[in-house]
Amino acid sequence: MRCEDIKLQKFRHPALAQLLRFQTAAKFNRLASSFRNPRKKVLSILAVLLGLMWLSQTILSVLFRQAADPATIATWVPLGLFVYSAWHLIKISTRKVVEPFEWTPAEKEFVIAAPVSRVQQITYRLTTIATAAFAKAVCFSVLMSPDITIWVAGFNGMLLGLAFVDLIRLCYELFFFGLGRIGRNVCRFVVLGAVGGCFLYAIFQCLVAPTAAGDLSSPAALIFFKNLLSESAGLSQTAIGDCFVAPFEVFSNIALTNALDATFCWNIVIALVLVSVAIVGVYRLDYWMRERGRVKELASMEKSLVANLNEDGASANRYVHSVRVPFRWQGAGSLMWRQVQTVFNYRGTIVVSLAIPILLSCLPLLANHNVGWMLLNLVGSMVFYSFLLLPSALILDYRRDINRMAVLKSLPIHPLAVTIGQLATPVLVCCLFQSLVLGIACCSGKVVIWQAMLAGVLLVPVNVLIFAAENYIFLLSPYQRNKEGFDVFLRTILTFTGKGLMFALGFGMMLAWVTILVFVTKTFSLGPAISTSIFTIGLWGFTLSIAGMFVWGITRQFQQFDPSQDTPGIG
Amino acid sequence: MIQLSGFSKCYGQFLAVNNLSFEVAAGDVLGLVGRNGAGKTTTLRSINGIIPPTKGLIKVDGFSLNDDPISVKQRTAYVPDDPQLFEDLTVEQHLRFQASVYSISMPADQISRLLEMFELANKRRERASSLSRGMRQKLAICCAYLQNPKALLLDEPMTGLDPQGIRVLKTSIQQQAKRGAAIIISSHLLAMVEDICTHVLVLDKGRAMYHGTLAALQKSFADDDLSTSQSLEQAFFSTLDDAQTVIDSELNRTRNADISHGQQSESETLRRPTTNVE
Repeated sequence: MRCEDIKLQKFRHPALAQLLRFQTAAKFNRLASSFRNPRKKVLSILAVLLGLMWLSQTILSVLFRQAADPATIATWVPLGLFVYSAWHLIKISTRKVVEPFEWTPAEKEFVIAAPVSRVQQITYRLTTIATAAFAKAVCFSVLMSPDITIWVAGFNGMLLGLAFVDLIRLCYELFFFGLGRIGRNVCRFVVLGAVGGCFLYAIFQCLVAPTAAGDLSSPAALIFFKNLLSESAGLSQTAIGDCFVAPFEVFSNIALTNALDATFCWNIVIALVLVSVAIVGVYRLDYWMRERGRVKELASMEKSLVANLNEDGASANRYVHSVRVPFRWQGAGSLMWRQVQTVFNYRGTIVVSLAIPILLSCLPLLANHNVGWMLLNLVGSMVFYSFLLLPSALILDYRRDINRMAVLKSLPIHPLAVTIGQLATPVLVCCLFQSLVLGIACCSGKVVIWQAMLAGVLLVPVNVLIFAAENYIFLLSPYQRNKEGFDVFLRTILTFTGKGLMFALGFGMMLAWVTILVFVTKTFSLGPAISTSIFTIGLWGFTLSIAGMFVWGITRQFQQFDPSQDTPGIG
Repeated sequence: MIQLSGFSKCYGQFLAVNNLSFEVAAGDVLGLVGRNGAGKTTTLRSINGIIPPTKGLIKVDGFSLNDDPISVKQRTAYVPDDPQLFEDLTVEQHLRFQASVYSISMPADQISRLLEMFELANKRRERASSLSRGMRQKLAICCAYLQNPKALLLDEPMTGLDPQGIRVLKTSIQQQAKRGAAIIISSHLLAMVEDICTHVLVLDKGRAMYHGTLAALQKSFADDDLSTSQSLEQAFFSTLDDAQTVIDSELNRTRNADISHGQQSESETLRRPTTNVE
């Protein structure tokens, strides 16, 4: 029985609100059900325990932390929000163009097809974004509690600030999607040019006054890094910088207020106006984007009709060329080739994701070490950032294929070959990243070429180990990418702890190996060249063995993976 | 009830549907047949407002999709070929959400009846992620039936269904048509189209190649030696072959013509001789 005369509310539809409630409850039910699943019980309990440990440790460190200098924090909070926004703009400008709002397949079938207005659909999406901003604001305000005088004000300031950042992201995403090819290139040029210009300016300033900040007892790299941050912060004090950062200062002033006075109320009003303008901007830009989309489609259709007239059916064959996989390697090569194609398709995103690790890894080059220490510092920083940042930047393995596990299992390829094929591409890209850093080091004249080449070869098993460990932990407790929620938080903790333990264990083993070698060297009076060679070969062999064990472990996990039971929910 | 006039849809440079026009009256069941990539799913998704049309007019029950999309969606239900469900939600939650979004008052009885009908009653508390392919299809059909739509769009509805499910679905489609719904079924199963449909629309490369009643189609291709299902199959392939011949000859003619001086209008240049038996 349909109620024909029910008036649909303008912005909020009760059914969509109900859907949000259902989904929130369902997430908790899924979390609870993972404890009932005997296949995942131990890991889930472990994740919760680790989560509790992590949370309690964080809370304790927050409680015993001294408050930061109010002037410093007042500078950095708005700048942080601005940098977060700029990061979103860079990501949108460089990644493959995707439709804004990122509707899930189920939302496309149910929400887009439902008799609700576009405004209500956008409100639904904004509510989900606000929920995420709420969670982030709680975390930030807890972490910043020693610096905040009034916690409620701090929370509200951060909530409004983070919501504003997300709204700016959405606005830019809608604007960017609505533009044509030339318009998008102009946007890319403006955004990357502005950010790159600021960065180069800050570096130039640091090189002109290399010890303007920090004391001389600190390592040169640290001084440079401090200088870079200081110069970047200084840019926000300029007239142009102030224009960009000023809106974020409102949220910072709310969060860091000392009293609920008239100034605070005025800031709240301005913040609400800013957020409201951004919300209106989202609705308006969505309308504009859809209209532009129609115009673009019409133009494309006319071009297509002309093309149909001028070309016969055979011309379609012009685009059909033989696609040949260069190497098969028992099927591993085919799988690797497929992931390489993905790298090519997402080259812009991957290059941007690797830019920061490259910059961070190059920082030791600024120090005045001798060649040996320089190489050690460089390799150490490369391994650290490869371990910390690259697995999340290069999701080109089982993590990308979690919904295609049934297909992978059905392939006439040995499970070990599947695993090797899945891991090969991220390892290859990681090696390329390290080669680039070593190449920069060679060009700067701070590292000898043959040493750099040797280091590159020695790092290959480390790269295998990094991605093998990541995939092994992932297959133990798989999750969907691009999902947020408490269970994903717990799984992230599980992954992070597992990797941390592995890193600590590896470090301990290396120290043990050094101790043994020192003893052997003294006992047998070995020369430094021989002992260094033994150490290097031993370390290389040890890393390779551990990486091999992880690859074997992944293969077993892959064999035991049941797509019907173990694939996490998408909807 | 359902009316398409000059409907076109373009994805980038690819013209998926070109200048499609047809009508489906209340109580009629239109079978949408054609090769893969012919534009069947695009047409159905556009009628339901999931993807915006590039050009043309789509009307359902007198309401235009361009002017009043909500009224169109309120009267339309769509069952996709691969149902995308909210994996964490239960069967019952899907139906309750659907009841809420279509403003159906007192839906409990109807939900129970549909779940019984499609043998999902014992699965009502189960999450969508635990359902089999066929059950997901049944749930999507239940969601569509719940609102008693005036326009029912079914994209490959038999996929994954067991024999009992197919029988129930066929019967229910006929009941929906009797109730007065205009139904469009996209399917490659010509025997099923012949069983249920009153009209047929053959699509190829986004163009209508044949549109008319099933009886007229069978009559025009009737052969004493052939059964009716064979004649439908023969009609289908003959239509596509004829269409390809027409396209080839027209392209040759167009290439030879001096387009720059011809000043032919788009409609004149691109018109295909759509066979219409009616």
